[in-house]
Amino acid sequence: MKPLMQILKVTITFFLGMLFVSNSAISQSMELVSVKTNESITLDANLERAWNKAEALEVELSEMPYKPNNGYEGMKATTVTIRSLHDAENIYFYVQYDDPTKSLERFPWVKQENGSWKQLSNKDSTGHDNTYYEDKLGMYWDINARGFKKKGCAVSCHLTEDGLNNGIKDKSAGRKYTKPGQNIDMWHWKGVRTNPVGMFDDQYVNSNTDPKKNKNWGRAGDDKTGGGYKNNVNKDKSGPAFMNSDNSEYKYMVVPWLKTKFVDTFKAGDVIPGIMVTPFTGPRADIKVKGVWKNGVWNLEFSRKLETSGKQTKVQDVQFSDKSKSYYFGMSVFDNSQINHIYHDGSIKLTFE
Amino acid sequence: MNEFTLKSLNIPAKLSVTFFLGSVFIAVISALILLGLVLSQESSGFVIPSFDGIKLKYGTPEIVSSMKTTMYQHVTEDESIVAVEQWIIEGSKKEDFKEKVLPIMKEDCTNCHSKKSTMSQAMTSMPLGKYKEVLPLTKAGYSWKKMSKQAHIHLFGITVFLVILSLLMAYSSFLPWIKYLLIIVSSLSLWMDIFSWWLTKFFVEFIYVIFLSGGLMSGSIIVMSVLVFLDLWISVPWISKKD
Repeated sequence: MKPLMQILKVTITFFLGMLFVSNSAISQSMELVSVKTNESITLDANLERAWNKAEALEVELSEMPYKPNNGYEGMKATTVTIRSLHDAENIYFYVQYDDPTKSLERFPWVKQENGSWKQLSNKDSTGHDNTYYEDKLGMYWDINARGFKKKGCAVSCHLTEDGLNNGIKDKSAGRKYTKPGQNIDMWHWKGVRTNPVGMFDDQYVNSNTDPKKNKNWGRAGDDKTGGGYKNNVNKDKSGPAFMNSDNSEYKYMVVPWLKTKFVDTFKAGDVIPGIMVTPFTGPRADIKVKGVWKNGVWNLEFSRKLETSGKQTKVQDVQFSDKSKSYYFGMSVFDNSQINHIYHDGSIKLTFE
Repeated sequence: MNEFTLKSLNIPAKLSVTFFLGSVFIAVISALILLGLVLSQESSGFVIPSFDGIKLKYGTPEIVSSMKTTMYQHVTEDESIVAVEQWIIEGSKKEDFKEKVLPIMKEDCTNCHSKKSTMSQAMTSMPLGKYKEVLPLTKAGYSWKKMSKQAHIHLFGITVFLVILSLLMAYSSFLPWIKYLLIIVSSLSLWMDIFSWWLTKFFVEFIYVIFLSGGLMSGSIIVMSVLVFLDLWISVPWISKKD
């Protein structure tokens, strides 16, 4: 019996050892730690020395909500690297993700052979464009949406089925809305409409499902006192109304410091921006950014006050007021797409160190 | 005439048997890892499934079992699982479906589980937007169709390598009682395991039989693999027949 017991002991020890080794392997968790910094952070899309102490979190985005019926040339997956720092007043993020194409050609005006101007678009069956658009990044922050911690952005995602969304006829692929009384803060970086003026579009998601009240259903911009973006079109909609005095750097957006009335001295094939952009003022301007595309990578360095102010902040903005708490968010990337995006399951936990 | 044993095999034969045993060993460990992960909510590691985990798979309505395990990450609130479970307990009535279950399906399931879903994880073959689509998933345990499918696949597959392994054990140098024990236990526990999957549907106590028979089957296969390997190359003292 003794030798058999010896064999049994060795075998059990072996398997117990395997159990220990295997169970000590921690399954992948998504947690981002915002590290305290005393250094001054300049939003220049460069990873300065101050960022060395921030641990990078890599998040794979590989889910998509729909397939545009007229084709989709954008990315089906990418990995976002995100870091965070904070000081007494602000929280900072540095985001990088691979994107082989720098897409800024949002509904441009192109002069035709016959001298007319045509604003290019290629909308799909849902009425959205994936050809003449812009690169974007979205971050959803939980304010008080039940289930966000587990499901992330999916708590507000409602796909249209058989032409109906929430019982209402709708041709969009899906809509974002929450349940009554629940809100999500939405940080929406837009490569054409907000990046040139150094901002995100600070928005939020609520429970509205009445398209008459808001054509974007639950998605809305935070309050603003001025600024924004507007389609660059003349009164009879035959061509652009404005242009840049110098088109070299800002080919696809009319910026305030170069804006001038459109004068047609162009030849066939020339391009005039399809949108005019100005910086937001008020709560919608809370998030500042420097976004640069270099060598196939978007680099976004952005910041926001830890606590914002305004009449509607409770329903529009996440407040990082308690650094002992965890805050949950989700991310998605839009590669030259109006609504199609790549995202991840679940949420990411932000904690403060 | 000397009785044939594995020790009479030439080196190439012993090598091929060794590689076969190694593959069997790795396959059993892989199967146990998969089973542990499927029956728990873990995503990695070697997890011993709990009784509750086995009960969820074999003795619980499939839709509730999925909401509690593989689909749990998509369920907004735990109360939703309770609500669906309660609806099933009350008879899965069609008149209650629209009010009690459909809103949960719409919130948590039909983005992917609809015939025309275009999401990355679309499950167009298993829509859950209508009563008749959800009803089949309210039955506990394996259906006749699923049982017969799972049973024949597992029996055909496992029996192929088990008979080889048992024959190798039969021609090893070990004491007869060790051979009889391992050969009989491995095959009987396979049958017990397969039948218990179905019997749990009617008698929940058979969960314990699944646990026991699964453990006995995989354990005896692993032990046979190790012992036969040892017998090929060395004389294992105390448990081998004396010459």
